[in-house]
Amino acid sequence: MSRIMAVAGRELKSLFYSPVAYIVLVLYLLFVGLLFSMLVFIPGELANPQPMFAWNHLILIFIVPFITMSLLAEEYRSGRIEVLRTSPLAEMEIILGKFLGAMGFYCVVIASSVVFVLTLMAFGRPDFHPIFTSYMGLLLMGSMMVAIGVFFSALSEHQILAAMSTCVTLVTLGILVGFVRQLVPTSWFAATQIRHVLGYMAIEPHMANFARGVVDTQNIVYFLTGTCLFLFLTYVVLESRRWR
Amino acid sequence: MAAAENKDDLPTAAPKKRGLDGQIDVSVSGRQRWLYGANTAILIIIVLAMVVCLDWLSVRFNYRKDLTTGGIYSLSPRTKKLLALVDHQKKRIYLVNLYPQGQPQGRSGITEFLQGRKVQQLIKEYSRNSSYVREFKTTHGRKALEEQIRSRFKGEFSPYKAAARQFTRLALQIKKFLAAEAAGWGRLAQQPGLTAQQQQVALSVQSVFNGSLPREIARTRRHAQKAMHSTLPDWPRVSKELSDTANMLASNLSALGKPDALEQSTNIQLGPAITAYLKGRTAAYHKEIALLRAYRQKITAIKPLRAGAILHELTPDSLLVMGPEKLKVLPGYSLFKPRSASLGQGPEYVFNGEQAVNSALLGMIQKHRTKVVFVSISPTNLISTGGPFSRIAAQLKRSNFKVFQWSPTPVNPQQGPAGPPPAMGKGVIWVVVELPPPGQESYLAGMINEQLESKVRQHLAQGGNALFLLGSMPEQLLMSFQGKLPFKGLLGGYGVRFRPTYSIVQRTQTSRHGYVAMPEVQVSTFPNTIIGRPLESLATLFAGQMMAPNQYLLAPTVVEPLAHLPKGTMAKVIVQTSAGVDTWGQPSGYTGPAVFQPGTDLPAPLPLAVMAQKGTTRVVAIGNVLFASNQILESGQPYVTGGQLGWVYNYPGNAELFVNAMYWLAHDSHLIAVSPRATVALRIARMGSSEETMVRLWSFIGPACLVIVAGFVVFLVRRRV
Repeated sequence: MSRIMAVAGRELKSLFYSPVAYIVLVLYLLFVGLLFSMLVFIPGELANPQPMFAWNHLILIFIVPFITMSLLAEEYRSGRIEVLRTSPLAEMEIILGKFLGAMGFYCVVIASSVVFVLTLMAFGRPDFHPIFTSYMGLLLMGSMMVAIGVFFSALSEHQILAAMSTCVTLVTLGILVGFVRQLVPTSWFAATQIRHVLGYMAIEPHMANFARGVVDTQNIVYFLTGTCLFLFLTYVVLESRRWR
Repeated sequence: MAAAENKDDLPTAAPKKRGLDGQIDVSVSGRQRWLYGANTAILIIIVLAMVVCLDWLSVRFNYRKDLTTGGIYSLSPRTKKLLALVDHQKKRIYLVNLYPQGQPQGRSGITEFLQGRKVQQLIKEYSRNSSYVREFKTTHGRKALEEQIRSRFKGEFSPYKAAARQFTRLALQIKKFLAAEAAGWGRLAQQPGLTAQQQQVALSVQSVFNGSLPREIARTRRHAQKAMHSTLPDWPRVSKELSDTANMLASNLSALGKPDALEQSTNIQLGPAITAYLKGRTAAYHKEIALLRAYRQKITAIKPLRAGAILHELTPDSLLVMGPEKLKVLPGYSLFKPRSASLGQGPEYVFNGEQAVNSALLGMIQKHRTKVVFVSISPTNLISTGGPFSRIAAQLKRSNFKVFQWSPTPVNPQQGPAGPPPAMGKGVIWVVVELPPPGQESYLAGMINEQLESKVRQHLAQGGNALFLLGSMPEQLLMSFQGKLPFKGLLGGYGVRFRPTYSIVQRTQTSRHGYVAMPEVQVSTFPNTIIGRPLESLATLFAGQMMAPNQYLLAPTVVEPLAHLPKGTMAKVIVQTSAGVDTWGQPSGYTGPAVFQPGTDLPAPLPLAVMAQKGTTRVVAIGNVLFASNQILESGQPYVTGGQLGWVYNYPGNAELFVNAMYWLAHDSHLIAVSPRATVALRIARMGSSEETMVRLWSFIGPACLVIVAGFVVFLVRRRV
């Protein structure tokens, strides 16, 4: 565990030493600030931050690839991956360390939105339970997104390629699947089932439940299995480099 | 796992081979690579299958917890109580979602699709919380549902079937009679001594008995038989045809049954032979006529089909509630209430499904319907079509109330005094309209007579409940009371005080008259009470009638709990104005400039409605006569969406608050606006526009700027290090 934490700490530190972290934070805060001032902060209306959390995935889809693009791709490019492999670290420890490092930074990003909750509290009294579940949802959603990012970072030596692939996958899961679902014609064989599957694959409805203050085991399982699946696939990719 | 076990076999640990050059070959052979690849592929497939299984299980057996403080996304405790009652009575109730489930068609189709999804979720919640409320699902669509409805009402069809069966028997008998008569008339035509005209008459009657009448009978009989063997017959149409045919036969026979009348109507001398024949057959004719008339009467007595009415109401955007004895269709407009929207914008809908379904369920498990009597000094129509309260009366009927009207003033004083109220006392709610509604001002001259007040007092003393619609009064009207305001003492007994000497106004800038004090107050703040709380997001208006700038009638007035409540009473404010400087209470009849006068005017917030209780008697007083009138309820504007013109109501909160108050008065608190439900979240405080802009600006760029500064500091520190 200590070895995992060491990798994670190193990763987190390196993220904060690079300008990427600040660019990501500024982008995130600008977007959430816009959501807050346009949809949440309306004097005379309910002090309800739900829209701010429900639409968070739209910016996270583009931010997470920035966080994860260099995790393994940079190691490949610089050749440090060989050093890591010859160290006493197991592949899984490397992956988990990198994953936790990125998650640490992701937590800092989403924690920065607390400033809007505090602003809301200064002028109203929001219900805290949905806020708590929203952060829980953001954490779970983020873990899946970061796992996807780690996976694509493990696939390529080029950071931009890794970021683009992550972005395309997240846009597909976050936005496109929802649209495609509506386009499935009723005349198709098992159209309802196809729609259900596509609806389940989309990120938005799972996050929307958390943002509303509803905790459903189905949503938790979706994010957790997604995270585990992509971490496992990363492990397979890393491990396969030995014999490929 | 397999991969982990194979770790030792990975290239670093693989058996070392010598190459052609004598060096150790550390590469992996093609075969080995293939084996590793296959191993990995199998592993990925297994893990994927596990993930799919886990996800499927999580969908199949999910556990859902609504953590919002008000439980907004789950059924309210009140609904759960109602469902417990359904379960206790063991009444199987089916809910059928008739909203389109497939791919949405166009923009309006998307709205319907989303609404349908909401209805589906609601049905799921109901069936999750009750063992007896279930979703009715059919794979054969609407036809199967129609058959299901018809099978539920099959008892209704049996009188129609019996009538059709009886007609086939009757038809045989009549046909036999007609054949015999045709032969008789044929013989008559051949008798010697008849004139050519009389012979012609006899032959004509013979042809009618032989041709047109039997043909008509055969046709109707064919239709009746077809209906009897059909799955979905149109019984009302068939029964009308049977009735018409019986009527036609009876009138034909009755014409011949009266020879004198026939002679007069045709202006033909029938002659002694025909007259003798007819007289001899009169008894036989009358027997057949009696049979046909009895049959017709039987058909007319059959009750209209309820199933037909239900099937007619089944629209593609509705929810059907099927109980063991009753069926109720909840149309889309009762499930989704529109919120105010500006011209050109589509409406926003507030989901009201829980309340609508609860109302239907209550109608199925509770046979008793609370009576509501609209009481006014004006005897003219209040609640029927065209009346000023017809819209709210219709909504009350939909909410399982029985609605009546009564006035102590007779419609025509020459015909004596008005009759007694249709209902009063325990279990009855009176809606007391204190001042005559618009268009009925002539009754103002009669004043609020003491008879009305004494009747209301009597009603409350007998355990009845009442809702008062009160208003501010012009000075001359107040003077006529000589200091004895109507209902003042009565309401005071329940801890309620109203101040008709004050009108509540809101200052508005107009292009023609500059600042004008309008008797129109839109309310967005509802204190935390059982009646007002659920209205959190619905626009509600308290308004009077504007006559000219600063001149108005029936303006809203102050209604508040007494500072010292009488012993054993409870009184709470349910609606009050906001604390803005643009709203105040000014003396009625004031026509000066639209400015708050600190000495004489009442500052905001001003209470507009109060709920009170003394023992089991409940009273709600609303400081606006027009509060539930069509004038406010129908106020709305058109919008165009998806190429279709729609109408969105500006103040849906008025009707909701009124119905909620009625539920409270009826001691049916479990039905009070359960959806949309209140959240504990308070509203964001109102503020000046500069302060608002500052907060927005800070929210947008403030935190981002702080991060930029932090980044710059880190950069400088690292550079120095």
